[in-house]
Amino acid sequence: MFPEEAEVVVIGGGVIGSSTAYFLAQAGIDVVLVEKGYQSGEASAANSAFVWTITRKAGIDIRLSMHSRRLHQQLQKELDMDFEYVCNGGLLVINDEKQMSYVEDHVRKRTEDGFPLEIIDAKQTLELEPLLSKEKTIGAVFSPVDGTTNPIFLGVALNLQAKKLGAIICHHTEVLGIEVMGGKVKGVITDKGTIKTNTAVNAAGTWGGAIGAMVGLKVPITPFQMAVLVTEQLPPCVSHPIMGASYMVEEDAGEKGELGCGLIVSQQTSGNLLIGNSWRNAGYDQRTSQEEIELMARVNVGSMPSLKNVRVIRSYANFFPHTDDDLPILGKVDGIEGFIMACGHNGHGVGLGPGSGKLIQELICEGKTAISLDELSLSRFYSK
Amino acid sequence: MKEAELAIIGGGPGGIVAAIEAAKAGVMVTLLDENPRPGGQIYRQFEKGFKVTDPEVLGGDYEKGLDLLNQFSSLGDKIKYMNNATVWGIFDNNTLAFARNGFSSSLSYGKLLVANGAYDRPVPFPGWTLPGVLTAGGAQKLVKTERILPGKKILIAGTGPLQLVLAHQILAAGGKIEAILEAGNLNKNWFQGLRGIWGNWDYLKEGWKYLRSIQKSGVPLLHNHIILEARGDGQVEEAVFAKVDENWRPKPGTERTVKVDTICSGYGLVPSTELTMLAECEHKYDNLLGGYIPVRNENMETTVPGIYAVGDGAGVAGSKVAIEQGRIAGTAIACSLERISKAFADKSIKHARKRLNRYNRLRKVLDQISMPRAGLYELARDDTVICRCEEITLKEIKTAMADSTTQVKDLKRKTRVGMGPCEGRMCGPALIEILRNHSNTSPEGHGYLNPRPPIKPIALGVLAAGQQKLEI
Amino acid sequence: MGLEDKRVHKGVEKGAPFEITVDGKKIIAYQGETVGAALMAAGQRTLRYTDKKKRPRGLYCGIGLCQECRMVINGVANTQACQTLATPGCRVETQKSEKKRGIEN
Repeated sequence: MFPEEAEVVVIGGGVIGSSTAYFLAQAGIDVVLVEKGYQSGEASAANSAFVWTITRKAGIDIRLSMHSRRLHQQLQKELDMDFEYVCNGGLLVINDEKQMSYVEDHVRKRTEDGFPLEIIDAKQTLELEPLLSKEKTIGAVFSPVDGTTNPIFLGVALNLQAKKLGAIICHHTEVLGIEVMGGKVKGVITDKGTIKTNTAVNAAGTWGGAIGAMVGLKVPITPFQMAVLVTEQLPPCVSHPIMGASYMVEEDAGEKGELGCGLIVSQQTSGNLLIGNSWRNAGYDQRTSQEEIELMARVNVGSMPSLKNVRVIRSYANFFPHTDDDLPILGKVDGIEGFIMACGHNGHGVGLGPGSGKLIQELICEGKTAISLDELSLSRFYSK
Repeated sequence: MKEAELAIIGGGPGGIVAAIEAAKAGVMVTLLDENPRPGGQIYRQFEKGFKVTDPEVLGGDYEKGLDLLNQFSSLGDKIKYMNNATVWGIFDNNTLAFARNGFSSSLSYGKLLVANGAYDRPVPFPGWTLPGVLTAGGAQKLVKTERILPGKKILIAGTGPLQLVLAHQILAAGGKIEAILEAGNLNKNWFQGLRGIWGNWDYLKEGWKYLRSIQKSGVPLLHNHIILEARGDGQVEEAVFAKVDENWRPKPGTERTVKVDTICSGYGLVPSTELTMLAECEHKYDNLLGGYIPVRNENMETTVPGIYAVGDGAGVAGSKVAIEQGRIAGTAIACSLERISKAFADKSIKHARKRLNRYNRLRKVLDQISMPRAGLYELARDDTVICRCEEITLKEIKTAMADSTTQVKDLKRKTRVGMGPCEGRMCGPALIEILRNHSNTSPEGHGYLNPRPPIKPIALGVLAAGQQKLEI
Repeated sequence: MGLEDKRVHKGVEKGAPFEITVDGKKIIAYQGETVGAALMAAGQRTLRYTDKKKRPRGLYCGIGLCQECRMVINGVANTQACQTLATPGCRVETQKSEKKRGIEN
């Protein structure tokens, strides 16, 4: 029977929406989650699986990441199902002096903000990850709190537990509209029926703009297509999430161009390597192109030459919800009571998911949050 | 200016005949074949080093194949044949990606013909992953082309005429067969099949030849029987089978055990549709033709203009049908490229269409007999592995289905089925049937595992060496 | 072991025979045979053990699709035995998950 009423409707079944629904159910709230697609959503089911803090900037960025990372640890203990969260530390690998000076600047700012980072030399880096190219590695940033997870399983684990706590989780259910009367949310209209509610959480990721438009909001989220290669399973050979510093340099420059790629590698518990990431100016095209597949392979084999015989068994792509300041949009909106934003997490949704979910739950239940959401409100894009 | 006026994927009878027809009309053809020599499965040629001393032993297909292959190679100046070329994706702007000689390349085409064949239907039953259980097609390749028997005491279990061919080849090679289990009943449908058989004397003659050789050898051919289990310590040592009803469900009390070291599982073929799906052709599910097949018009063109599909990969119907479809497609493509007039094309194809109709009548009869029935996908027990790559059992799948999951893709995300290196080929057909049995709905309602490039595993080094354009 | 000598010589003459090494032991292969076929002829049907449950697997589909015949051939893991021609002196190992990687050392 399709639910006709709920205290809260969470729109979006990725890691953010699923975390939100779980924490709400845990707090005794009567919650329904609706996801237009498959289990674990869109970008949450097609990313590099990093739970990552190294490249997060000083300020609200790193605070959110650290807060959420602790919740990954908590969930790993709390949820019945294992979602393969592994925390062995992370590496930002540096290949040349230009990258080194960029990274040193970042490390300085982070240390000043109270979130220090350590730069290790080439020898130490290669001891941690022997497959890295000796010729191209001059050092790395090592962060002991970083790790990887299985984001699809995280979604499954959160959904299963939320259901045990009384939540209703509906996949293949598309939101068609949101009823607002007198400035208050009254219901969420889906293709399976309308759910009467006073609170709707927009956790629709890359589709956060479309959901926002249903209540007359302009939400500046744009699709940013990124692709990943999956290899066959291997015995343990990569122990940390690895990012190439060039990725960070380009990400900050904001100039992505038509097609590009930065080194991002990790190994899942299952043994598959996730290799990427390429980005492509592709609108909502979810297919991977030959160019980006070959480019990712080239970048990876260039950095880890002994992987050349390892076979790629598939590729996937999805859209990260891009915002101009690289920060998510969390919190209430002016003028519409009961409509709460929880989207726009750029490429950090997996890491930030549990934290965002907890903060939204606190906002709904207590009115105040462990981290102030002032800097993250939608209105920041409109107040100049 | 495209690099290939017509690109053909697949070197089996469908692809070869289409290449011949198009080349004869003056079309510049490039044929990409993943094998070292043309012939596909049915006309698979021997590797270098083997020398045929007595063609009789190899059966009729070998000689028919030779004839076709000679025609193909005689057009060598008009058909660019690329062997050992594995097509791994189809992309925008009429481009396909392939791996050859250690690096990845792309090829742009004006028209595309996909003729990449089919593969043995993977049927999960208890013990099916033991060494010693192999597909009928795999056994046939060993016997026919590598001249090695797959075992000393063989049980053939499956349905349809291909089994008889395999049995004949094993006997001719001096192998020992304990029994042949046919899930359907060829005798019972004799009269019903008469209309289909009428005119198809060549089919009949072949069929009789194989049946007689099996009768003469004394190998029991048991109709309405199905394999239940393979048992053994680390490899096949015995098999359990039983009689079945018309839905292929075992009749209680009819179980028998036989000591064998090899089980050849031959329950039909499944079309390889990864490339037509990647190319965004529309597909429909056809139980008689092996599963999902591309929707085509009478000229073998799919719903994507300029992309054609023939042969078992577009609907399992055997080599004779593949050849006629190849003829029709090759001619239609030549016509669409204005090498021949429509009137000329229609006239050329007239006979091919007549033969195709005749063959299709018989195929319908055979397919009705051999179409998988519900019981086939109920053989697995809770502890039977369904996804061979990831070792996921039926029990894990049922647990994931408990919340009324209906979509194959959701099963994949919840359990990892379909995430292995076979890219969902071995478990995909079973997952659709397991979901269908469970919820009693149409197979299309469950979706399918999306093929994603590369559709066959390709080494990182091969991909990394890509971005090299094909030299013509 | 009763499964050896399964080569068929009737009607087709094989090329020259040579030795290959399988798990340290020498067996005969003929020019034109795949590694999988040569092993089948020698009576070895277990080609690898699975990662999770360490179960034995061997040839199944025979045409390079099922990925069950993955072995370590000349040091390269995950090489399909049914798709790889045997060559004089080639080294073949039964693939076990703890032992080998798809990586050159």
